[in-house]
Amino acid sequence: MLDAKKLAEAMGELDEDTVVEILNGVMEDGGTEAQAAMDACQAGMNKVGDLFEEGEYFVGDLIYAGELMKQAVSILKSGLITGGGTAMGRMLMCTVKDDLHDIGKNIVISMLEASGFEVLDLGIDVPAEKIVEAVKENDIKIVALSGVLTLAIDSMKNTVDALKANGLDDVKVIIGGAPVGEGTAEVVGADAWGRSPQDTVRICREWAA
Amino acid sequence: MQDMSKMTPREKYQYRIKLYRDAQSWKKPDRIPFCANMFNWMYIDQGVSYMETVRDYDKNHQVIENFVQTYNVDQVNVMNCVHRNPFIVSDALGGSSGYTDNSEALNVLDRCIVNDDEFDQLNHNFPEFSWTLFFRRFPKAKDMTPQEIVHAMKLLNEFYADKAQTSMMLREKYGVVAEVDYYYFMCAFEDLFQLYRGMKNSSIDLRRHKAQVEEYVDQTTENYKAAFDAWFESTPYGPNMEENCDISTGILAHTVLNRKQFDRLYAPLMEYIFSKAAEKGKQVLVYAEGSWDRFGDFFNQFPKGTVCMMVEQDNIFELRAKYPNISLMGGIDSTLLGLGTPDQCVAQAKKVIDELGKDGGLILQPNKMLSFPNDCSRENLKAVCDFVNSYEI
Repeated sequence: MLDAKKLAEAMGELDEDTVVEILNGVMEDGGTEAQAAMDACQAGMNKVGDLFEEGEYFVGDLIYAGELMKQAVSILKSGLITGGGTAMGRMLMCTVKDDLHDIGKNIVISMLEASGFEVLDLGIDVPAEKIVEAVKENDIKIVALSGVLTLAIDSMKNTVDALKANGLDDVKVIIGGAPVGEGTAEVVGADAWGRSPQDTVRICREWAA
Repeated sequence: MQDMSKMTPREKYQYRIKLYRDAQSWKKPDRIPFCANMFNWMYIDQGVSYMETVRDYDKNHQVIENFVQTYNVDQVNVMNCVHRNPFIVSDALGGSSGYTDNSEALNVLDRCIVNDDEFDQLNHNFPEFSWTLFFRRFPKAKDMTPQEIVHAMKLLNEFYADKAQTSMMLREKYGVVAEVDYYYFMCAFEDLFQLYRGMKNSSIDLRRHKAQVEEYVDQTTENYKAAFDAWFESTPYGPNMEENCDISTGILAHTVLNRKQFDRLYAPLMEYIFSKAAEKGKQVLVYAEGSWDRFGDFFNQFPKGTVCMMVEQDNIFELRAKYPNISLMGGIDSTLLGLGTPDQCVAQAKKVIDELGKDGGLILQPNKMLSFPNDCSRENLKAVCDFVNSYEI
């Protein structure tokens, strides 16, 4: 029987061996407890986020946590409930045009997914028109834009302008990454900026509530 | 304040070195020194292709000369703007992880060229690892003849010779500070992060291959200490007044490390070198990317006048309040330098100098390596240069 508390703790402590052992055990009967195990993994990821906020963990730990979460989904995949949607709904994230950095974006996506969002990942170097198209097609209400280069600020602004030009004023936009700071959201026309992955999760959850 | 317009290049050079040394020693300098933190923007500014120019040493010299003739900066980071990426050498080996985007800015791919199961060779037989694994991962390397390998080495020597020649040209012709002869080192974990495993994989390694990472770092740190000792024993007491610092390091991998990892993997070599530097009156310049606030107490433990840190992402005023032993290099926001007005840029320079530089401890510099079109504008850079050169403190 699944020990959800132990699994959540192992995930929070980034103890790969224990996480994998428990998850493989869960799948021995075909995965009747797979969804409960996934919930425990998500609880563990929330702990990872808390430890990051407290300064105990840093970026390398978040990268590893994202990998561990991917591994967990891969093990549990066949036993997970499908088609029922996720608690917080669907949102979109990408790295904006002219910027090829994906590590920060992937960290934030793993934290958002662990927090209950289904994240449509458009990848890197994504032009504004492609984002607008995806927002329309998927009825997205929250867009997270990532960038590391100072060039990304222009692309973020172009994206926000394009959303507005297409009548998508009700879509909330959050921006984040190395060149983004106090005041950047105002320059870009975004609704908020995330100073950390956990901050981004908190803001998106408030918007989705 | 001295009038530089009447100085010979040699006098300018000596004057500028003294500005740097006074700032790092916490003595009131004659004025605040200004380093452009220049990278790719210099090429964008002159409308030339970076990739073409860095493959043509004569043309490259012309770009650098045009830059120092246009902007009255005290220092050009020759390593950053010219000699960070030996493309001519990597061409000979079959390729590089560096490329330019549509805006002519240089980007570098996060590449992993040593596999998970190759740590043992890395840790236990470095010469074999270097020649049979690492070197052979360059696209052309496995098919190269000995003559072609020798040719690539010759190109590398020419590359380093050009770096020294460029720096000497800047010193002798323009009196501009450009590095030649300080001791440069990097912490062992940077090898994994920058050379062998890349950012993503080395981050995962910190937990998945922890023992192998520690083994690499421990033995390499000992080797790096021995190399430093050899230099240190032969260097005289006190600062070398031909250089703007005595020892330098670039730190980048700290941007993924938590505090425990930093203390275990990163701090020991720096602690060893910085302590010895302090004993002999040497000054260390740390070219730090990202944020280092969370490790500030480590850098602050050394005697005042020993460590100077570049400030990229942290708030420079908060750093000064928290870490009073560290002299700081930064203070100009590159976003403002690119998108603001000359008046705004000068106002920011004045505020930083007035609040942080009057008693030494400050080298003014843009907070990011100026690489992209919007990182800087001509008018703003000129305005800051003119202001710094005429502002009495």
